[in-house]
Amino acid sequence: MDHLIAEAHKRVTAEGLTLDTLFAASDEVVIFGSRAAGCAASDSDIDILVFGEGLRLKSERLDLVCIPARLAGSPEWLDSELAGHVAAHGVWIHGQRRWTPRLGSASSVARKRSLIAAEYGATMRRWQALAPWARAKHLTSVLRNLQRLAILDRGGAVPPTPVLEAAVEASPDYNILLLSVAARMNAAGFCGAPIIATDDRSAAHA
Amino acid sequence: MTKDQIERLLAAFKDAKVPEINDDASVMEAFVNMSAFATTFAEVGLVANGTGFTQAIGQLVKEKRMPAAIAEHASEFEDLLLQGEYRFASGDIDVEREITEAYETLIDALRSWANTLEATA
Repeated sequence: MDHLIAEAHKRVTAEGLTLDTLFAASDEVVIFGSRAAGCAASDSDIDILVFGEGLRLKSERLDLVCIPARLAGSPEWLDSELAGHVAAHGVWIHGQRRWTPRLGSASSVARKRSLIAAEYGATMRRWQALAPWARAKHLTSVLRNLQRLAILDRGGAVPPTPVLEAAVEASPDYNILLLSVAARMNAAGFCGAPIIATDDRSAAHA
Repeated sequence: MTKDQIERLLAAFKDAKVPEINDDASVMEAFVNMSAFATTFAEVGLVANGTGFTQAIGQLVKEKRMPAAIAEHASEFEDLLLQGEYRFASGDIDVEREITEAYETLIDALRSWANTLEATA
């Protein structure tokens, strides 16, 4: 844990804050995401969660997520995907966990479904306005969220993104996989979006 | 920039609707719209193909081809969109107004910039 605290200290200080400021503002300070799970790339940011007010900060080095303290024990927080992830993969560097997430809640599953439908639908509607790299970016995001949905649906905690990426890296042709996901969603009438031409291989060329 | 390129930029921003961003679906619409803007920037030759929206804005500001304020608006908007993911989930109602206003400000600034380009072309 010491190396995580040292890394957090370095990055928080670089943004003009101190860990002491965070500790004073919240009963719980948690490092989560790929750094906490030990699967971060060298250029990954560090994700820190605090329960407090007005501490939100996002930069290339640091993603400081601030959940209003009044929501710490609320159903909205306990049912959220983030709460499940933080409880399972987070490392508390200040205080201790005083809440228990409700994994696989109906609301988190419904929210994820809605998110997938929204991104897929928006991507299909703007298909002609998107360059191939942008189409691939959003289809990849849909694929990641489908992976997360599958985990939430069986009551699991969603792991950091690199773990999800590794799970599909074994695919012999990632571009074909993306097209396959899109085709299946179209076939299932997932969001009423128009059909993708199956020969449009440019869709998945990043 | 040629007149045709400027007209394509103007068309992209003119068509950009500013919906009320009040749920995950509208946040996703906004993210995809930003990718469409990035596509237009590349198509008119302002940035290399594959450059994302915020990165493109940053580059244009650095090259002094775009006012620095737009980069601030873009950064604020993207930050709010990312916050939206957990703020909507945690029942934080202020996020709706903040995101919608930030989007409106960003689109207005981009339209003004494109109009300036047109006026000086």
